Amino acid sequence: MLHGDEVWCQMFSEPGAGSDLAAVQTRARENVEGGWTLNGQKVWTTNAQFAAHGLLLARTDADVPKHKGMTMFIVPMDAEGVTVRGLRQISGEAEFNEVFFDDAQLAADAVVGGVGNGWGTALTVLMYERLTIGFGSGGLGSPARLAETIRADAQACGDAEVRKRLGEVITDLLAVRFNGYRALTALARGQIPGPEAGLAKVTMVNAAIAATDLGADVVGPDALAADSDWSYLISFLPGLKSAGGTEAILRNMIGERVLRLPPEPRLDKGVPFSELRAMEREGAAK
Amino acid sequence: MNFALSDEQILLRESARGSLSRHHTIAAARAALETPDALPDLWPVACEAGWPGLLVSEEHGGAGLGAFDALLVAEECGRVLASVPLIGLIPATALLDAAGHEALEAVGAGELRPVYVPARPPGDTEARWTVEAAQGLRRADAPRASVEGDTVTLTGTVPFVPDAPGAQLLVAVGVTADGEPVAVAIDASADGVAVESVFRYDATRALGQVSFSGATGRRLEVGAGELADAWYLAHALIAAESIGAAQTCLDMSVAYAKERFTFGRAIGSYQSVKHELTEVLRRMENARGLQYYAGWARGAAPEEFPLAASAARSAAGAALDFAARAMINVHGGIGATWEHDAPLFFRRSQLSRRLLAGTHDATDRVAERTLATAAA
Repeated sequence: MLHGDEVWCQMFSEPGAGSDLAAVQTRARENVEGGWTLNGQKVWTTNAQFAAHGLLLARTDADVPKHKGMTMFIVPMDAEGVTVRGLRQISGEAEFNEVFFDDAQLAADAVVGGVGNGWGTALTVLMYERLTIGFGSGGLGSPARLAETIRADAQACGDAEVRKRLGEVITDLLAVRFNGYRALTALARGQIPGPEAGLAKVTMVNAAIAATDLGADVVGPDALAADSDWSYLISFLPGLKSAGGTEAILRNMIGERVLRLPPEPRLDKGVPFSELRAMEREGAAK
Repeated sequence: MNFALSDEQILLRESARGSLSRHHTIAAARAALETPDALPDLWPVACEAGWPGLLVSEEHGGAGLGAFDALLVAEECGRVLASVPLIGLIPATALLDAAGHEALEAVGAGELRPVYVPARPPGDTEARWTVEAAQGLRRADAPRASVEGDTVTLTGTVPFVPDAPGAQLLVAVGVTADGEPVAVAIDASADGVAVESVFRYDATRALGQVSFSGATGRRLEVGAGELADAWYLAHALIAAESIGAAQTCLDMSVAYAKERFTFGRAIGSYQSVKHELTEVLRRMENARGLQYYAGWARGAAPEEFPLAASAARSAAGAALDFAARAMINVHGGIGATWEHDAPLFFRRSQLSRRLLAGTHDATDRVAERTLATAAA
């Protein structure tokens, strides 16, 4: 995997579990004869169609509060009962997938990090995901292409508004790049990426959107031609705002874990997962 | 590249924090609002800590440290609004050091107080060397210079020079009849030199209007590159100061958001407050990453220093502006009253963003550098 010979995918989100990831319902039941039986649905799975294996977060105990009853598994994507379906997005392309499990069988040694410890494992993986989107996608804002596009247009080069937007977007992209070096220095010293990696993701995605908007404004309607790179990015970026955690949930997390602000009040604390849906339905009916 | 602070840098920062803490600078900032003369001159603190020699090379008797270190000190000064004249001092020492000026030893020893009289290097939309306008967007020409051997004669006015009051040696930029910039060191007490103290909104920032009318001084053997470097160094310093000030705004806002309750909950538990404070953190940390970039680039990649320092200034100016306003918002009405400390930081943000051509000019410079290096 480290050599890139084999692609893996990450199966965390579900139609009913995004920001509130601990609400996953995909169920893994331990077989009497050993191993596990898997049922449920995952969504927003990148590369599932190419992946040999996937990391899956599933519920193994519904009678305890939701953060406690989850386990992380390794799933062979070619196993019987695993179906991958492309999910078309704004661009018309299927960058992501839905994955369905119908009595898919897992071996006993498919468990990662221990039964019931899935939440802690998922948080670590997510930190790396934010770190990757935040610090690993310096090319996403296409600063070089943006600069070339503006430079080729004498009117744009001298336009105060264009220059202001360009200066701001490049400043943000540089900030992400050099904060990335700070984070990598910390990683090299053996530290796990902290929640602040989420801030880089927020900056990166918004800067990429601003850069794309500016490039397209300079180019004009041609930027929206079907074969234009600008139009592809314009379609791709809105969804990326939610990848690895929505902006709102990241700001909650950073506010609470970095700034140590008091948490949002929660109504699901200590409630067994199996009773939560009834509680939610009752709340909606009020 | 290693972007963690070394043990020596952590020590430098801690000792700066320690020196400044003995001077109750926030209380002094408040007192100076009522009586500008009450602002203590922290030049002795800088001398005691050895900051005049920070950037001066070891062969000239200095500490031979880098811009990265100077920025850490500036950040600490900004954190407590300490009126240490770093923006005037550090670029001046850089120019004197580059020229190998004979006054360096006295400067490094704290016996002679220099100030940098800034001039903005030309760019793609403004081909002249300019100084602040007395008012308005049209920048003024840098002072006129005539050169005779080692002697330079200057005529012209430079408004809003940080740290000019009290300086003994002016390190200024003039432009000759054929448009070439020259650097000159002029005694503040020389004939034809006037430094008038100016107060603008932020009592913690000493400003002066420097006028030359046929004043003569010694030419410094530096080129346009060193003069531009001094300008960007001043930008990086004002950025670092602003980041320090933003940190205090954030710390005070977070503390208050934990102790102030409404509707039975600490206000920091509400998303609107939490997200605003997270935005302060995001902007401040972005600016800090750029501060590190600027500190690193000046020594390791000098061709990137104009971009790095301008980006740092742009991000830090916006970050402090946001942080100071957020602090007032989070505190509610009390944050906008005279007796609260929030207005001291707000005043700092308002003046800082308008000095040295303004934060917006730094943003434009980022665009200019980006376009200049883009593939045609």
